Amino acid sequence: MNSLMNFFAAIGRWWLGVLFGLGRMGIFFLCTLRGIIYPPGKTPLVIKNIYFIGHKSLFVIIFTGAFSGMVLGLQGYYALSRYGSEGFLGSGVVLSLVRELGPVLTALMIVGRAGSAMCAEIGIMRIDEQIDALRCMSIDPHGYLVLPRLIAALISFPLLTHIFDVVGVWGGYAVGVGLLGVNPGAYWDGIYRSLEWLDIWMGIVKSLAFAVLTITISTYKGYYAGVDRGSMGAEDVGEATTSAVVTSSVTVLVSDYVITSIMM
Amino acid sequence: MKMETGSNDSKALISVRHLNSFYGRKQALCDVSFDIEARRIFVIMGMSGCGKSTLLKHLIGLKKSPPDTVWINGEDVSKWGHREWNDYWLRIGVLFQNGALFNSMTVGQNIALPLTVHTNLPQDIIEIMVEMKLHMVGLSGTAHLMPSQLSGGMRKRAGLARALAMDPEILFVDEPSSGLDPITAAALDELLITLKEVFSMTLVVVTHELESAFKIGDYMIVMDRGRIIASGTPEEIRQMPDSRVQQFLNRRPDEEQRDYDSYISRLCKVKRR
Amino acid sequence: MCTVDIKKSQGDSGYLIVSLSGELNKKVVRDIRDKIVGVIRSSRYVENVTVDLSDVNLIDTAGVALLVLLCQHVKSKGGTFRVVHPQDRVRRVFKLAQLEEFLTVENGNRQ
Repeated sequence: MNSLMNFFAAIGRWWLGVLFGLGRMGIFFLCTLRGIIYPPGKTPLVIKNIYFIGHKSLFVIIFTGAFSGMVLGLQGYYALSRYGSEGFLGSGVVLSLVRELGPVLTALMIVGRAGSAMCAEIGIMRIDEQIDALRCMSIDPHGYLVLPRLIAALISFPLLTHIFDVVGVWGGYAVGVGLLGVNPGAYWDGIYRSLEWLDIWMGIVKSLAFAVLTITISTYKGYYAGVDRGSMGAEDVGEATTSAVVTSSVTVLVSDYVITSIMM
Repeated sequence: MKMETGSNDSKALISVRHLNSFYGRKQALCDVSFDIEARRIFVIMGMSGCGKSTLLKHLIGLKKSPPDTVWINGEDVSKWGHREWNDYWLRIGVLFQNGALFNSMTVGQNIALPLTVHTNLPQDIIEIMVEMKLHMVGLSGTAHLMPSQLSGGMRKRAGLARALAMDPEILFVDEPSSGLDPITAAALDELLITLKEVFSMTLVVVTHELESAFKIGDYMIVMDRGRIIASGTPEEIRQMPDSRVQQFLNRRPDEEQRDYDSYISRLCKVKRR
Repeated sequence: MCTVDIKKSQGDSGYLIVSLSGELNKKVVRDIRDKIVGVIRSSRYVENVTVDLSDVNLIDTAGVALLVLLCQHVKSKGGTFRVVHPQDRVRRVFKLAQLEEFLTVENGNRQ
């Protein structure tokens, strides 16, 4: 009987922990927004962060974009040729990219690269008491550390997503037309006919949503590294970073479904 | 030592009455009460884990204090909101244990940060102020270095320079001398005394270095396991008959005596296996 | 609050007497700097600058930095700079910062 009670108590504790974390993250996000009204001189920081997230991720995005497009070209060709519809390859590639793969894969790539780095950076500041130092200097850490990163993400994510899409379309062209002999006119024509503004909006909405979610989660995990346990060590930063990447990635995929079902 | 219950002493800058502090279910502070007078050096002493860091957190606003426990300038800080805390933080300086310098900027930029963010002072004036503060802590000419290029002791002193950048009314120092060689530590002690005398600063120093504490302290409290076991001027403390105080002062570890028997029995258990 | 009174000499021998009163702290430093530098720039040449601190009851690091800046500026143009009649408290700050010599702090008679 006792072990059954313990089991339920454990589930209860876990669930309460999840709620507590969600609540605290919500407050964290609101505090960050508050920094818009009381900015502690952050314009140069935004630019620096755009460079960090955007510019530094460029090569990875182009690379993965190209190969994603190429694989779509490959898979699409073999799926469509069964019904003699290779001409539709262009639409298949572009819609898959713009609606789904572009925003999702871009977000996942950036999470792995910039998200984890941000989490670690802020986490190290936490364990070295630097965040406490900011507060005691009357500089709000949310406005100073988190907000510039958030704004930089809101600018970088959609831009990188578009780059991913464009490179992907060319990748699909290279494989479909260049390698497998699809008619180039049919390829571009398919794109022209099937791509609508709604698809592009969907891609933008998703990339903005992913930007907010992933950056909030990553910076939140770093900000509270070790705080609940009261310890201030390197293991806490490592744990926070892993958690940030996993949670961000899962959130991207779940919210992808939610947004898609709302907008389709 | 007599403590008035209820209203705070109007002369004191900071008053604490019956403060209890918890981390979850663990009690870190138990019925702590004392006054900090303006323009004096107040020393908080004790061994590791005695709660002095937690106490410091309450005084600088990093931990929430319950109502009617902490008063600063006659105001109950539990009633303070964003604006009051921000005003307070503008008037204090805090030196954290490891300096807490920001790694992404130079030493000079670290010290200049509060000035750049909170004042309209022009850059050339700020640069001169940074050099003056660095000179004061014995780090002249290091403004262009990155924190990672400094030794631990130098980082701490840079942190002190940053804490002093805004000429605070109250300076809180967490373990000033730890990690410093005796000469630098002595120079730092001198500096702290000068800050009190020339700049009329109030200093709150958390330390476990006895020599330093007795040299600079005007008033001291000794803590053990979350409680204050002694408070008074350095002379008063030195003469206190309380065994725990004497033990702390003379660094006599008596816990080892009691554990001796269990130590031997543990050894024997190992042997038998 | 800090008020500035600047007396400029006429004719060719350029001297400037700056009298400050009140608290010379970081809130007022920018404005005072702008005023004084403005006067120095608008004169054809300024050789001797004297800063009278007899009515200044409080000075902080920013105030000292301002004096250092002015001193640098004047000396680089080949002029002389001195600070006169500081109150005791203010003088101790100069002493602590080891700037008594650089700023040529004098306790001469009030004129």
